[in-house]
Formats: sequence, structure tokens, C-alpha cells
Amino acid sequence: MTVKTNTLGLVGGLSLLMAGAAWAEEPVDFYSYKITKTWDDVDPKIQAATRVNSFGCYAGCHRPSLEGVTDTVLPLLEGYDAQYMFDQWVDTDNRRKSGMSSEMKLFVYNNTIEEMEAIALYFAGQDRKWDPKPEVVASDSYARGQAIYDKDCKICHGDQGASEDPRYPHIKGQMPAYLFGQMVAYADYSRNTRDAAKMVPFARMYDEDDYKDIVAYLSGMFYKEAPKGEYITGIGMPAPKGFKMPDSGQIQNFTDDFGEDSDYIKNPLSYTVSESGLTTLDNNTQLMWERDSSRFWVDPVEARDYCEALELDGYTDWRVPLVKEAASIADLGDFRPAADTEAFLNMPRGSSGIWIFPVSDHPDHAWHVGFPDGHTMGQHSASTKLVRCVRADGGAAYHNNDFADNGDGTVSDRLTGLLWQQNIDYVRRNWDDALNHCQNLDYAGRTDWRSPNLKELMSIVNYNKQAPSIDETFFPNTPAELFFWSNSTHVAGPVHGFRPLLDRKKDQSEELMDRRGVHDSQKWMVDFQLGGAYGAIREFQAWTRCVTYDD
Amino acid sequence: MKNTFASIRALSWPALIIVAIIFGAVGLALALPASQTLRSLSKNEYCASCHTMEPVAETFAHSSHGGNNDSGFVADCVSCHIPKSNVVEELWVKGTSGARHLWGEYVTGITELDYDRLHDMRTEYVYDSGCLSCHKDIEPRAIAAAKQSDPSPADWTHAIAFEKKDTDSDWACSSCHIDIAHPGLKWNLIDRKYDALREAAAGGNN
Amino acid sequence: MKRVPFRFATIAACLAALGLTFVAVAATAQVQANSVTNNSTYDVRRYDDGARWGFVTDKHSTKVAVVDTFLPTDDPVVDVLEFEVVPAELAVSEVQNIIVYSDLKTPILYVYSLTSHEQWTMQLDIVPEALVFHSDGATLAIGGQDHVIILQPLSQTYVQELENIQSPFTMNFDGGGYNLYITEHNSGKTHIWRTHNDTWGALQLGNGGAVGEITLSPDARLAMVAQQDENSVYIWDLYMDRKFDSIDLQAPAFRPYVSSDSRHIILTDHDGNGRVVDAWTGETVREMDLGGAPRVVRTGWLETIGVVETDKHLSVFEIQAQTPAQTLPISGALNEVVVVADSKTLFATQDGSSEVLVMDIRTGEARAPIETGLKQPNHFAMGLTNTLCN
Repeated sequence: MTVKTNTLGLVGGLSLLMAGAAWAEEPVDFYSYKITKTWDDVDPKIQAATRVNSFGCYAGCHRPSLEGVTDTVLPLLEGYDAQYMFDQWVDTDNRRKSGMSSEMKLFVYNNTIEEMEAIALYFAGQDRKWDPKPEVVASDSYARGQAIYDKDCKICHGDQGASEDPRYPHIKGQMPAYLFGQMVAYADYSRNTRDAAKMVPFARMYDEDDYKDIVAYLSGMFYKEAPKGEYITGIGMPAPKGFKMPDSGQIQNFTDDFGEDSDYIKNPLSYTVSESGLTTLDNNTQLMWERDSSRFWVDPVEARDYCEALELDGYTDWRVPLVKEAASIADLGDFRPAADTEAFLNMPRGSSGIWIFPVSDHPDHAWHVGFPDGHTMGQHSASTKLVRCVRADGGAAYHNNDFADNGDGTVSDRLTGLLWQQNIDYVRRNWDDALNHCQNLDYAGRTDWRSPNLKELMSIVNYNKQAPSIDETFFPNTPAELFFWSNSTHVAGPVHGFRPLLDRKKDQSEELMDRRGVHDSQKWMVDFQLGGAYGAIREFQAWTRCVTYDD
Repeated sequence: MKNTFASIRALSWPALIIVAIIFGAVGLALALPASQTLRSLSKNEYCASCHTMEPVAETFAHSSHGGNNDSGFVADCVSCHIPKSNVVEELWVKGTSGARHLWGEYVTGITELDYDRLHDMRTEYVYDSGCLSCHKDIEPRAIAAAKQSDPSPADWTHAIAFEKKDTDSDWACSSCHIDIAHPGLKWNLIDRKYDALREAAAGGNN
Repeated sequence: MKRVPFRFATIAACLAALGLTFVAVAATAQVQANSVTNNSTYDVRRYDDGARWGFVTDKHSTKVAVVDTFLPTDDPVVDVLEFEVVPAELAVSEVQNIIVYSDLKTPILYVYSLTSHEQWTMQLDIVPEALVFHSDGATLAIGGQDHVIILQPLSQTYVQELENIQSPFTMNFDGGGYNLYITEHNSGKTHIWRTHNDTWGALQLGNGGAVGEITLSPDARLAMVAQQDENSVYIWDLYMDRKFDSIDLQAPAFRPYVSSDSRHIILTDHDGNGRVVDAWTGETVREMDLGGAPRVVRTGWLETIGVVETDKHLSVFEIQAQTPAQTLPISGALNEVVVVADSKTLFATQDGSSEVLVMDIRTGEARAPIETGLKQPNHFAMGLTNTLCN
């Protein structure tokens, strides 16, 4: 049986972590911080909060050790030295680049150093389960792994990986796909932070078959490869004829200050459902969508094959959507699902993520848009999502920009009709200041700047490259670290166990439309390391790139 | 180092002899003043006088090799970045790297170091012979300890490294001991870059 | 759309052109809903929004009333579906838009599609007594005499049969669908079936004596049962793999409930004593007199309000504040009590009435009841409600 990826839990984890959110003040303190406390030194109030926060890690992606969920590339958190865990954690913003590390970026900034320290100490005090499978222990692979391990690994990592030396991580009982992925990352130099260089020559002494054997010995489980496939990249695909950049759909108000998403209405969401009721044309993007999403959970390879085999309304050129395409049908004025439910059917409220391409910074790292709220993030390809296929005449796609450098510090995108501030000011601000900064900006002889909405900000991401995931010819020196603000708000506001569900946008009361007094809704931002879209509290300090209509 | 050294070895013997004679002659002719000049050109202050080298010097000062140690010992830049082999190679490296740095600073106008590119080629400009000229006991200790039943991880790993380092650049000293004299260099460079961009933006240079 | 704030209005007065822009934006945005041109000629009667459609079964007939819980009109019964047998037990998949049901008599699983209105059956070797969907909405656990059958009703695939379980028992999937918890009522012995790799774990809930139905907190962190031979509730921390607490009550404990944000445990005993316990610290948050023997516990409105059905009334109380409970009289026992996903509205079927009771739990007051047209409304089933455990 496949296990449905726990998007519910993930977002739950997010909100748990967000609850006491703050951010590191100065990166230098953050990256060189030395833990001197023990768990017993931690203030009892912080201990209590830490138990809740650490549970957020479980509810999100990292399963508890005792469950032994093997179809994950993510590490178990229990049993590491606290300093080691802390260091690896703070490195996940564009430093440590191996496996799915980049997905941890958001979580570096949602905690204070003190909170992170407490979480690291907490997990350091938890045991990692050792439950080798009998068939693995009896295998030749396990025996070969032991021979290699005892020869070249044991001296540092201890007996079967049960290191007691804080300089060398405890790896016994760690997840097989995680261990394998890290060995590969050492060998190809992609894991190169902290003490990683010391592992590189050892990893390079062996090949992937050896890694599988070592992994069998250390985890007591066999490494299982995640589904791998060739996916479309979007490169070279022309834009649909008549493409118009759709609005975010957000029409609710969250601030007295002018400049938020709902203050700029240009191309409201607009769809036409076909006679058969099976397909929906987006009148803005000119993309034609499968009106229903699949009722089955599929991995990315199955998603690709499903669309290739699909025939609807006489069309056979269906494919899995690209990132910006899926994000373009999100309705940020709605929640669970964040999409128009007449135009798009079978959008489950509980969990409605769909796979999208291309893959991210790792072959097993595929994107999805989660339609509970319209977030875009990566997920390992061993997990399952729904699929909703798309097509456009002439093999077109909403993926590639049509940029022109105007030579005056502005960049036009002839596809979206937007004019972008080319050179940002490299000042980190909270969300409200970002809105006002753009409103007050006098730049390149113009004063009509504003903060972009989430879809607009995502439109300049280049999903075919990383760190930064933007075309540097047009947007040089774009920080891959941290995030950029949009002017859009997480419409649901604070959610408790994903309740309450709001009325649908068209039925929302005055009270739900005018939320200026409510201060705790998260704000959307985009990461230009990979291109993910996440919410953060409005006090978060992020970069700002302003935009205006190019007319 | 391999590249440089290989290029030296690639020179024919007569050429090497001629180079040696020229250096020898110049050295003899200039005697004291020359060694003074060379010495002053090898001082840390001289290396740090270039704008591009500021982050390098700044991070060096925070490192154990840069004086952040109990005895106050400060290594020379050239201790690591010029080989300790023979006068020909030493002079050759000093001359070529010095010329390259001067060229970069004053002619091509490099404003910042490309950490990622330079990091990947670190074994070409951090010389094991330099490391070992101070850390003389590492090799004999490692080789002796590795023969014992319970060597320390360091001795055991060093024994492998000494066996492989001449043929496999994954096992040079700087393969594992990264940024050992310039801790946090990459992030220092990134911070400087954003600081400079922030200042430029604040100055109205759209 | 934002009303133009005062200071903008002032600026607008000075800068007429700019001001007009603001006003223009305000005026146009007022009507900016999405536009959907639906050319579909296919009338489907799709009930694929799990948080909207309530399915009310009849104790004595095969009719199932479809209720629009958004209550857009005075008559929210929009359709009556015809099932093949009287659905005595049922479950709705929010993802696959199907209802699975059993008559509690025959070893057959009945399936009804809420989008195509097709029906089909799957033959079993036990009578299905309990139906629990995995969070993927595709996989169903069927509990019967000493067995659990795992299958996928939409694709009609049999997955697995789990044996060596003693009836009676209760089953719960955790929210992520990694584990199926099966607790035997006679002993508290709990089997944990790990769905991802078909391995088993075990744990003992309680002192070994008889227990009530297992309650899993919505975050699947805590598992708890009422111990029948002690006036207590036994709580296990599944993530720490150790006992969390054992809480004594004054009388035999009713089945515990956990709020959908997993922050509070609500305990009740048969004498009508209620207690709210913090799910992280184990500390008692408040105690209250429910004024009658409890039958059902629910929570809602941002998980600040608790509702307990007693034999006399619905008792509505604030979870964290020490304010007195409000009561709403009821004429007969409630068959099924549902707080829908807006967390504000409670629907309940009631013995001796063809109507569905509706209450706004924020005010504790009844709203207009819904006439179902059924003889005796029994279940009120939905794909998604505010109740994440039980």
C-alpha cells in the first residue's frame, strides 16, 4: 500500500513552528553558535514549547524513529549529537545542498537560536530505534557492508555506526534512502559544508553498489530507489497565444496600507467549462485543464504516464503541469481548496496536492502545488500526490519568460506584461514595510511601484536552475538566501487543525472580506534558491523586489 | 600544486638549468637586498594590502593559524601557499602566483574572489609540503600509530592520506582540512557582496 | 474590497487623479468574483465536496437524504439517494467521492459513487461492522468478527486481511495514514499495523481489564481509553512510546474526546462530571457539571467551545474559560452529532423525529431544523467534519 504524503501534517507542522516564530538576528551568530547547555538547563517553559515544536517535525515530514517508515529520503531526527543537528539545520538555507536539505530552509527562520538549540537537545536525548530486518541481516549485502564498514568507517563512526564521539554523527539505524543519498552527495561534492570534506575521500573510495551494502549494514534495511523518470523540463516550450497573467484571486483586505494584493485587480480568474463538462479552459492563460483531478494517489512517474494516456474532448496531448501553470489556477482568495470549485472538480479539501514538473534540485525532488492554500514546495518522489493534466494548442506552456532589459534598471516581461525592478536594495523588511517600500519607491524615473502578488513573483522564477532560481542575466545578484515578499496574504488566517473551513469566496461575509483588524494571517513569500512559495508571519524579514504594470 | 609542478617537470632539463642559472645569478648579484625584497614581498601585510585579499586576511586573523591560539603564533601566508620543496619550485610559485595576483588586482580589476571556483581547486594552491614543514610529526606518528591496534581516527586517516596523497588529490591536506586558516570565508565574501550592493543601492545607483 | 481609508481619501482630495484611481479600483473590485462560464450539458448531481454534503440515512429504509450543510436556503435537502440495502454503518471518502456501507447483516460491502451514482458491491468473508477510511480516501479498513480487511473500494482491489484480533475492537488510522491502531475492548491490547511496510507493533492500553473505544488525538500523538473497571482514563504517548497519564474521575468514564487542534482532552463520567485536560501538560484546565449523563462529546468554533450531549440536553461550554455551561434542551436521544468543518454549526439526528437538529454552537441556540422526509434519520455522514478523532 502506498502511504499518502502527509500534507495535512506538514502544514500542521508549519503552523506549530510558526506559533512561536521569530528569526535569527545575525547570521554570524547563528552559524557559529555553540551549544553549551544540556536539556536539563533548558527553561521548563521552553522545554514544554519544545515538545510541541519537535512534534511539528514529526507531524510534518520526519517520521518518528519507532515507526520505521522507510519510503522517505528524510533523516530520522533522534539520536544525533545536539551540536551536529543544530549545525546541519542552520546550514539548510543555501549552504548544505544534499538530498532534500533545501526544503528545510523555511524552518531555519521560524525559530530563535534558543528554540533551535532546545529542539536539538530534545532530539539528542531521544533514542533512535534499531530494528534490523532479519532478511537484511542474513543477506550477502549486509555482510559486504560490514566488511567495508569495519575497514574504513568504524574507526570514526564506531561499532555499526553507533558513534559516541560527537565529532562523528551517529548513523546506526538511520533511514536507508537518506544514508545512500548522503554518500552520493559526498562523492559528487554536493555536500560540502562543515566537516563534510572529511567524508568526501572515503565516499569516493566506493561506488553506489558499495553504498547499498553499507546502508544495509547500518540501517538493517535495504535501500529502495525512489521512482525515477524522464520528465518534461518546459525548456523551449512557447507561451500560449493570447496568454494573460491571471490575478491571484485574492479580494480580501488585510491592511489599511495601500499596496496589498486585493488593491490591484487586473485579470480576475476566468474559466470556461466545455460542453462535456470534462475540461476547463483558463480564459487568461489559455491553458486547457482536466476538470477533475485524479482520485488516485500517484508518484511522479505514474502521474506522467497517466497524462500521456489521457484523452479528453478529443485531445491527446495532455501532460503534467509545469510549476507556474499549476500555481496559476490557485485562487488565493479561497481556502481548502484554494481554487475555483466549479471550474475544477474533485479538489479534496483535506489534501489536494498535485505533481508538477520539472524536478527540483535533486532527481528525487519533485514539485507540487498544494491546493489547501496554494503553496508550492518540493517532495520526494517516493511519496504520492494527485494529478491534474493540462494542455495547450501548439505544445505551448506557461513556463518561459520573455524578458527585455530596458537598460534603465528595469526589466520588462513581455509575456506577463509586468515591469520589474532589476536591482533590489538588499534591505530585509517585514511585510508591511515591504508594501510601503514599493509604494514609496522612486526608481528608474517611475513612482508607480508596488509589491508583486504571489503569482507575479513566481512568474520570474526560472525552475530550470537553482541558487538563484532566476535568470541572472536579467536579475543579477539575486539572493538565493532567505525569501522575497509578495503582497498576498494567506487567506485562511490562523488555522487550528485546518479548521475552520471558510465559506467559499463568493459567499464570504463582509467580516471575512475585511480583515484589517486581524493581524495574524501569514503572508506569502517566494524562495529564490529553488522557487518554493510559503507563508510566514508578517514580522519576518525578507527581501523586496517591486513591480508595476508595463504600460 | 600538481599542475604547477607538472608544468615545471614538463620543461626540458636544459630549460630548467637555464632558469636555475638566471635565478641563481640574479640572486647572487642582488644577494642581501634581493632576499630582503623577497621577504618583504612574502610578508602577510604585503599579501593583505590588496583589496581583494581583505576577506582572506580578515578570516585568517580569526583562525588558529592567524594568531587565534594560546601562544600567539601567526603563520605566514607563504607557509601554506608556497611549497617547501626546492628553491626553483618555490621561486617559480612565488613568481607566478604573485604575478597572477598583481595582474588580477591592478589590470583585470577583480573585486571579489570566486569562492566556489577557488574552493574546488584548493589543492592546487595549498601545499602539503607547507603544512608538513611545521606539522612535522604528523606523518611518522600516523604511520606508527596505524600499525598499532587502536589508532585514533586522525592518525588512522592521516596514514591513508600519506599513502594516497601524491596520486589522489582527494587526499591532500586541504582536501579535508578546508578553510582551516580562513574560517567562514565563503560567508564573509557573501556578506561583503550584499553589503556592497546595499551600499550601492542606498547611494542611488539604480 | 477595501474602503478607502481616511488618509487616502484626504490625499485623494488633494491629488484628484490619484484619488480617482483609488476609487476606480474600489468600485471595480467590489464585483470581482471569479467568472466561470459553464457550458456543460451533463447534469451530474455531484456531491464531491466532503465538507458540504451531509448524507442522512434512515433506520428503516434505503433512502438517503442529501443535506447542503452550507444552508443556502430554508430547504437544504437537495436530493434523496436510493441505496441497495438499509445502510446501518457507512463512511464517506472525501477524496474518491464514494460512500461505503454495510447492512450489518450480510458479508457484503456496498459502494455508492457520489459523482456517477453507480453502485457496486464487494464480497467479503465477514459482515462489515466498522468502516474506516485511510487518509488517502482510497484505502478502507473494514472491521468484522475477529478480522480486519483492507481493501480499495473504488478500484475494487482486495489488499490484505489482518487476523489474530479479538472482537470487539475499535480501529483508527492516524492522520498521515502510517498506522492503523486496533484496540481490543476486553483487554486494552492494541495492535499497530504499519501500513507502509506491513509490520506489526503492539501496545497495552490500560491495566489489562476491559476498556472502551480507543480515541486517537487528531495529531495521532496520544491514544486513550476509558478503563471500565476503574473510574479512569488511560492515556498513552505514541511518539514517546510511554504512558502519558492516567486520570481518575468520580464515576465510570465515558469515551474521551480530543479537540480537533489536539490541544485539549475532554473527559466525562457517567455522573455528569466533565473535565478539560491540557493534552501537552496533562494539567486540568477546567471542571464542570454537565447536568446529566453524557453520551457524545464534540468541540468547535476554533476549538474554544465544547458540546456534550447528555440524556437531558446539549451542554455548551467554553473549553478554557471558567464560565457556566449553557444548555439546549433536546426531546430525544441524538443518534449522530456532527460539527461541520466551519466549526460553527452542529447537526444531529434525533430519536423520534424526522428532523435534523441544527445549532449554532457559538450562541448555543437552535436554528431552524431540517425536515428530511425520512421516517427515522439515523446517521449523518460527511467526508470531512470538524471532528478529527473518534
